[in-house]
Amino acid sequence: MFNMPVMNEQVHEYAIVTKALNREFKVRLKAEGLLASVRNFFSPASKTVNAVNDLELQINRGDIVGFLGPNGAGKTTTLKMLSGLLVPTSGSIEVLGYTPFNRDHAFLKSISLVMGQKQNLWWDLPPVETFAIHRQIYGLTDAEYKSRIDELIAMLEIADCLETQTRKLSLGQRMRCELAVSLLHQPQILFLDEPTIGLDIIMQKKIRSFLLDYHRRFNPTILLTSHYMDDVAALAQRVIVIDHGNKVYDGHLTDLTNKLHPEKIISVLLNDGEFVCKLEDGCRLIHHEGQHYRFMVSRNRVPELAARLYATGNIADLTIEDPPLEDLIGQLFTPDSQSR
Amino acid sequence: MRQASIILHLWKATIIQSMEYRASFVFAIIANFFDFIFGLLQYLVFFTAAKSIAGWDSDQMLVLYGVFMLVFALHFILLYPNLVAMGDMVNSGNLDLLLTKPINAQLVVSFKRISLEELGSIGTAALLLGWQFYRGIIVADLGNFLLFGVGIITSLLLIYCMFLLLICLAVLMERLDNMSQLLWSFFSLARYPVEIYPNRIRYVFMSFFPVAFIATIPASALLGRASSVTVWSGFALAIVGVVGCSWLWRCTIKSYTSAGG
Ligand SMILES: Nc1ncnc2c1ncn2[C@@H]1O[C@H](COP(=O)(O)OP(=O)(O)OP(=O)(O)O)[C@@H](O)[C@H]1O
Ligand SMILES: [Mg+2]
Repeated sequence: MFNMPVMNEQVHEYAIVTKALNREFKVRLKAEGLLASVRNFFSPASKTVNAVNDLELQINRGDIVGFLGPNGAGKTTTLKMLSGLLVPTSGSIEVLGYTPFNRDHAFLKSISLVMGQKQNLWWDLPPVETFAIHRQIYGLTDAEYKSRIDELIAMLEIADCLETQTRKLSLGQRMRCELAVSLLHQPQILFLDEPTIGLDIIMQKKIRSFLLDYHRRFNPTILLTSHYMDDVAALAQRVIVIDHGNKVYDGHLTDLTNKLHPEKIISVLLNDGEFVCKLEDGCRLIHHEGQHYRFMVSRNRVPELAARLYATGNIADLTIEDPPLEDLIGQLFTPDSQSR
Repeated sequence: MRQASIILHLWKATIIQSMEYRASFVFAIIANFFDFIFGLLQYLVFFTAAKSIAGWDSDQMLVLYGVFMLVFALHFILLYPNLVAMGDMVNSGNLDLLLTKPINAQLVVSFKRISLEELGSIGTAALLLGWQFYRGIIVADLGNFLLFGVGIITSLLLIYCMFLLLICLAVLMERLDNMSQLLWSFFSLARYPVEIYPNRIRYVFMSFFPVAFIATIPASALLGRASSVTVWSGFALAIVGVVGCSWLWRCTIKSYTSAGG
C-alpha cells in the first residue's frame, strides 16, 4: 500500500539530524481573584515548561516520517525549531546541512512549513495573487512558475478556486490552495503540521493521496504531524512518538500498531432490544449504555464481525475506529511494551 | 532588487484589497482631506490672535504645517497600515510563515501594506508649500533645498525608528493595542516648533527623543534658518537609530516564541 521508493542503503546523508535538542518556555501563571491578579501584575509568577526534551532525530532524505503525540507533546515546537522559527534552548540541529535558525535564504528556499491552523493566502484576495507573490519571493522564472503551478493545479484539482477570494473558499479548497502555495518552490523538506485538521473524511483522503502522489514525483523529505491515525498510516512508514517532549517510540508504524494495539473499536447503536450475540475470542465489550455498545476487536476480525453485526438487522449505526492516540501512547509505558 | 519587486507585489495586493471595500476607501480619503483643512483652520484662527509663536510668524508656521503634513502623510501611507496590522500578524501566525520564507522579514513587516488614503494630503501639503514658495516665503536656494532634502530623509528615518521599536514591542508582548496612538502623540508634539518648549525639554527633543527633527528642522532648513551642522548631525543620529533598531528587531526575532499550533 505504500508507494514509497525503497530506501537506498548506501546513502547515509541525513536530511535532518538533531542532538540533545531542548526547548523551554516560560509560562506566566494566571492568578485567580482580583487581589492575586494585581499582585501577579507586579511580580508575575512563572514556571518553565520543557516542550522538547533531549530529542535525538535522524531522518533520511526522501522519507516520510509521522510525528505522533498527545496534545502539548511538543510536536509543533519541534517543527518550528526545525524550520528555523524558534531558537532551541540547547542542543544542535542540522537540516540539509544548515542550522535552521540562521535562516539562510538557501535553507529557507529548500523547506516549507504548512500549518493547518495558519495560512499564507491573503484573505480578501483570490489565491492566484498569493501565488504571484510567492513566485517573486522564490524568484521563479515564468516558465518554471507556469509549469509548476499547472501541475499543482491539476494534482490538487483547484482550477476553479483560483480566481475566487480566499474568504469565499471552503476549508478544503483553502487547504489545497495552501498546499499549492507551499509547494511552488519544490522544497526538499516539507514540514506538515496537522494539514488535515478540520477536514471531512473525503477531503482528508484527497489530501493524503495528493501527498503520496507528490512524494512519488518529487521525493521530498516529509515530516508530518496529525491527530488522525489514518493520515499517518496512509503516509508514513516510520513514526516517532513523543510525549511531554520525550521521544518514546521511533520505528515502523506497522510494528507500533500491530504490536501495541492489535485492536480496533467497533461502536454500535441498536435499533431496539439488547445485544444478544455471544462474545467470542478477540472481542470484548468495553462500554455499554442503553442501546449503545462499544467493543474492542482484534484487527483481523473487524470485517467479519462488522458484517455479522449488520446481518442481525438491528443496527442503527456502526462505526469502526482506532483506539485513541492517547491510549496508544499510554501503552508505550506498560512494562510489556518497554521491553521491546 | 528582488526584495523591491516583492514589496511592489505586496503593495499591489493591498491596493486590490482596499479597493474591495470601496466605500470605506472613498470615505477615508474625504475624511483625511477635511482633517487637513481643519488643521489649517486651527493655525489661521490662532494667528488672528497672535503675530508669532516662538519666533515663527504665520507664514513660516504654514511652511512648518506643510512639512509636518508631508511627513505625516508619508508615514500614514507607508508605515501606519503596517503598524496596525502587526498585532494581527503575530496572532494569526502570519509572522510565523513569513519567517520561514527566504526574504528579509524586517522589510516585509515594515512595508507589506500601503494605504493610499492619505495620498491626497501629500498633494495638499505640496500645494501649500508651493504656494509659500510662490509668495517668496520660501526662497529658491539650492543649499537650503539640499538641507531640506536631508532633513526630510532624517525625519522619515527617525519615524521609522519609532515604528520599528513599536513593532518589536508588539512581537515581544504578543499583543499591544493602540500602538499607533503612541506614534500619533509623538507626532502631535512635532506639530509645533520645538522653540515653544522650555530649554531643557528642547534639548531632549533634539537628542534622544528627537521630536525636533520630525518637522521643525526640515522646515527651518527650507526657510534658511537651520544650521547645516544641526541638519547633518540629525542625519547621523537617524542612521545610528535605524541600525540600532534593526539590530533590536533581529534580537526580537531570536526571542520570539511563536504561540499557537
Ligand atoms: N509560545 C509558547 N509559549 C509558551 N508555551 C508554549 C508555547 N508554545 C508551546 N508551548 C508549550 O509547549 C508544550 C508543547 O506544545 P506544542 O505546541 O509543541 O504541542 P503539540 O505536540 O504540537 O500539541 P498539539 O497536538 O495540541 O498541537 C505545551 O505544553 C505548550 O503549552
Ligand atoms: Mg501542534
